[in-house]
Amino acid sequence: MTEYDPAEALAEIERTQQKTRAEQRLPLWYAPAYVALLTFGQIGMDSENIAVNLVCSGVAIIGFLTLIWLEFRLSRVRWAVSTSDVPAMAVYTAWALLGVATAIGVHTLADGLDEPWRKVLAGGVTMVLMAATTRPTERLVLHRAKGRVTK
Amino acid sequence: MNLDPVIHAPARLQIMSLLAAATEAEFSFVRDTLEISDSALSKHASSLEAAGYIEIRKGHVGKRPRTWLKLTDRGREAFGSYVETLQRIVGRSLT
Repeated sequence: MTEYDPAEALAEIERTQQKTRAEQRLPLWYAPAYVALLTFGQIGMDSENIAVNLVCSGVAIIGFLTLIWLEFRLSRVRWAVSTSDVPAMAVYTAWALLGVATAIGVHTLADGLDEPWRKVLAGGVTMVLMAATTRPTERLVLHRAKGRVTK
Repeated sequence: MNLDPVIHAPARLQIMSLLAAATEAEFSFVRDTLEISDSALSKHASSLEAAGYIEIRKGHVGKRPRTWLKLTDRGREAFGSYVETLQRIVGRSLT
């Protein structure tokens, strides 16, 4: 490989960093797993039995911690906080809010169903939505990172 | 304006660029992303380590050995200066 001229070197830095961001993607099951745990915890909280409340909440909390641990252990690259820019965080926040709005919306619309099936339906629809929108959300964040160089 | 010769070699520039965007990255991730061989990555990583620009850390995930690469403070500073020099030469700012 021959050395780059300065313009090529800058372009190469940008290309490499963009490719690095594109290579590290969330597993498709990751966001739906959070939704499943949240749904499970919510269903457990509906019970009038305190022991059931505690067990379901405990399982959900342990599940959340396990997902965070899995992401940390399985991830092959750990991002620097300085590489997270405001537009990217805004996109991910909007994505999470979309999930919350969908769950609340489906739950409200499914008023003909009894619990816990209303929550199961709302959780199920939200899980499918989050799985289906994981890659488009990542692509949007990547698109917004174009032209950016992290020093 | 002089460009740092340790960073300016194409493979090392790619390694530094990748690591600048991360806290640390696994050896296999760097190899796969940059599409270079194990031996080439080892050779260039050793040069960067000798210059004090990166740190190579060996660890395990379960029983699997893993090697992690990260920029040192000195490496991040050198890469920042390198990018600024390039931007001055080219006359544009990407950040």
